[in-house]
Amino acid sequence: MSDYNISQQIAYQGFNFNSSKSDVMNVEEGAKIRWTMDAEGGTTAHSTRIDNEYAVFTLSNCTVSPSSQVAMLGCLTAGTNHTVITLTGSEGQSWSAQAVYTHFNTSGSAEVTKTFTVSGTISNDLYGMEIRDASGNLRMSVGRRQPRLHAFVTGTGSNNADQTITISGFNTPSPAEWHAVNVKDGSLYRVTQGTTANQLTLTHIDEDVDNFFTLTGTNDYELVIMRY
Amino acid sequence: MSYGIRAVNKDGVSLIDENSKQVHISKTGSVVPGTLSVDDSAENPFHTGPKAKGVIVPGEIGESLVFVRPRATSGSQTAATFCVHMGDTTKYWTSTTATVVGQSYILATPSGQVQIKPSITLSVQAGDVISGATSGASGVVIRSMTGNSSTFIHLRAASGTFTSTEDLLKNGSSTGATVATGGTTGNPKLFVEGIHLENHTSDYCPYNPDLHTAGENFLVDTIGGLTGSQSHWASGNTNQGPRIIDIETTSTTGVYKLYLDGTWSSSLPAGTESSDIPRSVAIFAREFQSSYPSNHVLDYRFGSLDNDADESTGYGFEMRDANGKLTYSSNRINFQIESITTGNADVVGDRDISGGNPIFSYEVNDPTNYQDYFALVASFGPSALCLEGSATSNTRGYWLYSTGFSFSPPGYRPYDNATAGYGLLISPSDNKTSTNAGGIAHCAVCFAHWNDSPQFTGGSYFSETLNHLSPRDLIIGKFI
Repeated sequence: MSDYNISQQIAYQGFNFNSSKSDVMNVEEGAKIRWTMDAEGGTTAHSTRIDNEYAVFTLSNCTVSPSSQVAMLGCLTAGTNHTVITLTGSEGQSWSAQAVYTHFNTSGSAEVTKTFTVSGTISNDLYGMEIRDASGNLRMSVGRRQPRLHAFVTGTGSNNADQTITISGFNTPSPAEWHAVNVKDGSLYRVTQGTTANQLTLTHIDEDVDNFFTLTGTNDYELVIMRY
Repeated sequence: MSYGIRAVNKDGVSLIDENSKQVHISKTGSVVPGTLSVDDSAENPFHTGPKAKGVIVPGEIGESLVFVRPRATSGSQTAATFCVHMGDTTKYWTSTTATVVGQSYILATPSGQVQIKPSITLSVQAGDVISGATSGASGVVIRSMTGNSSTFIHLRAASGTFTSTEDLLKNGSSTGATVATGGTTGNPKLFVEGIHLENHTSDYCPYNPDLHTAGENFLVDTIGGLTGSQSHWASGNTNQGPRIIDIETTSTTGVYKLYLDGTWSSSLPAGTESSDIPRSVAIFAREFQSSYPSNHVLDYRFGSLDNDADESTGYGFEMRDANGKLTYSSNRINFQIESITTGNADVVGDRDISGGNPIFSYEVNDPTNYQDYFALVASFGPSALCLEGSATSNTRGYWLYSTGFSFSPPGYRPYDNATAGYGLLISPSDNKTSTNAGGIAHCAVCFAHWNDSPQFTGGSYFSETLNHLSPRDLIIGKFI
């Protein structure tokens, strides 16, 4: 399980040219970073020119797994669409991981490259307490993400209208830490998270939208609230 | 936060606080996903294989989380596609002896049974129809058995109420056996039993799981799974409507000892019925046109979010809120979410989905331990109904879809869009040839299909969809 995620995108407008993307991550010794790369940012279009094209890695004070057949997001591949970086250096050392993809441009007339780089300084500026279970599994650390289930909220909407649901703490301090999903079978409500503190909106699914009829459903909802 | 401990990681993200809750796993088990057929099964060419059974959802209705994973019981793990539906069933009990004041239990029989008059023996085979000569009540024998003074015949698809001492018919013929006298030996009421989908497409396609054939049970659980809540006797106890909190078998087949959370303040006569016990069931169904891997089962775990401490370990780290409720324990096995991926898994508008494949997937970070991954089921039941009409009967039909899962361990590919959601028209080139990744997809799963549909002009179709504008969530993690 990775401790961090990074998803790098290069805008699709740069597809026919040599393009690059770099980010800095100063994280602790031994950290694991899930790394995905995308050369078609901002579009749903897909060019088969990058299918089955794999990264050539250059690494310093880190390893990647898998290290072969790593393709970009959305690509046809015999391998994976991601890899996981593990830092191997010590505190204070610099680390970097670079992935270079070579592919033909859309016309097939020339080869171009996409270069993704993540680098940083290994920093153990951590303090606090780690908690492990009797088997040594890390259960909590100040250096780790710990997604967790926060609450379960049930109810019934009324008047086939949108509903505002109050959940203490939701969206605070940042909506990016929260997620909600409606698990009710056949519910005609979908979650619109929004950015307002302590609440979310249940948006009612109207019938006959875009000429598609909805199945007979229910106005009940069962919300699972997650924080991470 | 005004009290307690709050742990914040280096990025300022809260790890635990006084509002934390943990997943309490209350039930685990395995099941083989089965077929969800249709009422007009004679018209359904894909009505093959074992039917899907229901698993009683523990706890109160509507407050359980369901986690699933396919697992190989022998050999290697392969790809598996399935979907999950919620349904319901009911059961109730009839006392077999009078209750005693001050006691906290009752001897009772569950619905779906009939007791034969003492000293009379009646042998039956699975599938025999047993009926009452005067009441007209009837039911189908579940399995071969012999009914006598201490044995109840278990029935399914039963209706009506047998009356005491009436003659019993077997397949319409007299048997010489009679129903045991009520009031002393019990006379269970009967009613139609089975599992029913919570959400079904009643408007256009009356749809529910078929009744199970003779010898099959419609539940994975034993009768014990039907206890634990919501059963109330009408009166006669210190707490109006005690709940059944435990169950034991007795030396008499078909009679159970039910423990209540109250005591009887007056005596109830034998033959007193409880009210119905409605229970939710989870129904695990496979993709209709391909078999579930023969060496695989589907592991399920039911959980709820609570603040109850259930650990007995004398060491570790615990946090509690101001009311003494547990908010965190280092001993609790929790669902550690690795990824929440949002996308669209709903069929929209046409069974030809070449314009957009209703599938999205996630590659796990730890493919060498792929078998440890569970998905939190965040969508249940039918999600789309497609009807394709044609002047040629063999090309028309209904397709019913759910938003299910396709688990593809390293070496398998159906977590892309080529195999998951089988029955959809998908570009054949849009799939992986092989992979060393472990993928899990949220995808459209066609779980039922039948050919009987109105004839349209060639190529016409219509579709009904649910949540077609809604994002779905693929929530993956491990229990550690």
